[in-house]
Amino acid sequence: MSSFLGCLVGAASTANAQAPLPGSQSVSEAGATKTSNSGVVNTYFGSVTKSPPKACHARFLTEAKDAISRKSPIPLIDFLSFGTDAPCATYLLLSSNQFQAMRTSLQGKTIQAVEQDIERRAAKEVKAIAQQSGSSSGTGGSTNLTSKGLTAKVLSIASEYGALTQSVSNQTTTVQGSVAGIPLVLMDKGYLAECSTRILSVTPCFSHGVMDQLSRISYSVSFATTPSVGTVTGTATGAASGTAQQVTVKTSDHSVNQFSFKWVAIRGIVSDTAMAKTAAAISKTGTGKALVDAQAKLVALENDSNNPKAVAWETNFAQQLLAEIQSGGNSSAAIESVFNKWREAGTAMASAFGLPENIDQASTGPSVPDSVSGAVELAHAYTQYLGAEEDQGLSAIIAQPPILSFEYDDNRSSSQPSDSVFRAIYQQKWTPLTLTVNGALSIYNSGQSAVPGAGRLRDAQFATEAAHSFALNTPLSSSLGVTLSGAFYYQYQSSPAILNVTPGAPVDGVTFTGLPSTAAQVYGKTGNIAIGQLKLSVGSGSSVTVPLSVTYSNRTELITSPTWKAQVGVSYDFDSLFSGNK
Amino acid sequence: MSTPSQTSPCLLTNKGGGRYSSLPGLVTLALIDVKGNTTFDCANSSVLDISGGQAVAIPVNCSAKSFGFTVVKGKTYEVRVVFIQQPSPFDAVANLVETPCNQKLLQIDDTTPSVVLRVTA
Repeated sequence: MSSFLGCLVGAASTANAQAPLPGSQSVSEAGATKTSNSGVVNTYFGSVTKSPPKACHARFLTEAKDAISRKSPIPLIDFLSFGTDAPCATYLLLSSNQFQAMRTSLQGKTIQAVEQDIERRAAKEVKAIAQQSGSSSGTGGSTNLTSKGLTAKVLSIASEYGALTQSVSNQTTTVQGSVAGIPLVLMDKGYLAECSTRILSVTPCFSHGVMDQLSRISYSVSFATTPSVGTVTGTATGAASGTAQQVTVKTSDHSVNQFSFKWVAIRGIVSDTAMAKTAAAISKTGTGKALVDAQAKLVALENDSNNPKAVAWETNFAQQLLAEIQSGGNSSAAIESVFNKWREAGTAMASAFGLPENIDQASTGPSVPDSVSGAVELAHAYTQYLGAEEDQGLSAIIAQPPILSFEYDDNRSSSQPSDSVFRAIYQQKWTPLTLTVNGALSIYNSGQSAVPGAGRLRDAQFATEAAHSFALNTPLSSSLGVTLSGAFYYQYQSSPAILNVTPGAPVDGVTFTGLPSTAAQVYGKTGNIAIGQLKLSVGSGSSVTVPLSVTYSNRTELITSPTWKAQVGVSYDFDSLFSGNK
Repeated sequence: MSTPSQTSPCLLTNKGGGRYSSLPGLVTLALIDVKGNTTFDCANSSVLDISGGQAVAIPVNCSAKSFGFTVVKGKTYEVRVVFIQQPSPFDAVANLVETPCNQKLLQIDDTTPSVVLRVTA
């Protein structure tokens, strides 16, 4: 019986507030929106989209039908007001000639410069998301007996040593995340919009359906990071020159030794508990407060007793719209025609808010009218809040058991023939118990005719894990999450495991005795491999987790004697860095 | 002998554009889901008394589906309400109603993740 102390470094996983008084504190000062008012205006001082947001069109149809049935313009007044339909009113104001005139002249900025500005800011955001600082923290990967259905949302970086089924292990660093991770973070920050609600043309957009599908796909890339991984061989060429000799150098190093994709095929319905938890997470982002504060500024301008024109315009225009719908027989065509009239009313609306139609930079000077800066700020806050809801909402959906996922792994170890693994993963949860079941087939990517008994099917795998989560009250933490899990793994080795060797350059960590000097491959016995593991993860559910485990196996792929392994590590979940939570 | 049920009178009268007149009393707003799940964001919602020069926050009784505050005659209030729409803000639809009279005030969807109402008593 041999013992082994490996290092498993982490498992990337998975009242009434007192509102600020008007004028006492700006949104940016409140900290909910980091960008200053002028910064938002400068960055987002772009044109609105050519067509109104689809959501506004849908909302208009609803309000028009309501106005028809009630024979009252009130639903249409609601549609025109910042208080009751902020994004559509914002779009209308920003589509005005006055806004267009200022857009091209404000501070000498052209729309092209603005677009470059937003691209720079978005690129900075991506860089902040993806760039690793300092040494890598780790994840389970092959040191886990079961694969889970999900990966980190944005990014996890893991380093591991101590493979459980194989006899030779190299230091491996794994980068993994969801394909939707970075778009969701950009959406959460307000740099990416959902297409049906996009107001500003400089904001790129993804549809909700695309984000939904992208969130189902995750990737993983593993790199061999042990210095001795792979071999470098030099062959003398030509005659020696004194003590110097020219050589031709070849290497068998693989910079990428595994990549994989995971797709969530089936997921559960979001429970009430998960809804409540997600609602709390959305609330904590503070983006809702930034939105309603920005909205309140426009409502204050709209209802300014010194300028009754805005409210009068809303009322008169709504009455006019309803009259035209009624004169058109309340038909769908009449409603569409009136909607087109609405989308052309931005200039009149801006005039009602005190912006003369001939406004330009000369008349405004370097300052931006409050209605314009407020509308731009509101557009940004609206995009950011919906983004935060989408980000948190999709995370809740994707993590809702039961989850059925399919995984494809391409293993490209430098010391073994490459193989592909096709795995199905099922997870179910009965709080506080979580059950994970895996089934997989592994095939060699090429025929192994040189090895007796080797076919394309390398092995078949089955694994299951039961995990029990609970909380402990400790002096350091009022509620320390702990997960106790037991796992069983079975592998039927139908073809021998093969190790590529280079004569004179043995595989790191393996010493061969009596190996013929011409041998290029060694192989083990076929048969059954069974592994059991007990693991305690301290800090589960938080950003920092310390897993401790003990594993017993009857054999590995090459070593036929039983093996004990003990593992301890620390993990850090990078997702918490990118969440909107303060 | 049982008393015949009576419909409770509504306190709020919609003037359009988020402007309401109100009778004095306890105004209670409720969310009725049409699709998905919409809740009040109690932590980020508030009611301000804006009658005087200085706006003053007043107590609110808020839960996931209910939002109540007391209206006093002669006062004007700014009601700032944030909604949380799930599982996706682009799928959820709810009606904001005044209870117990069940008067529909607004439809809450992806164009109304928040509203700012002015209530004058």
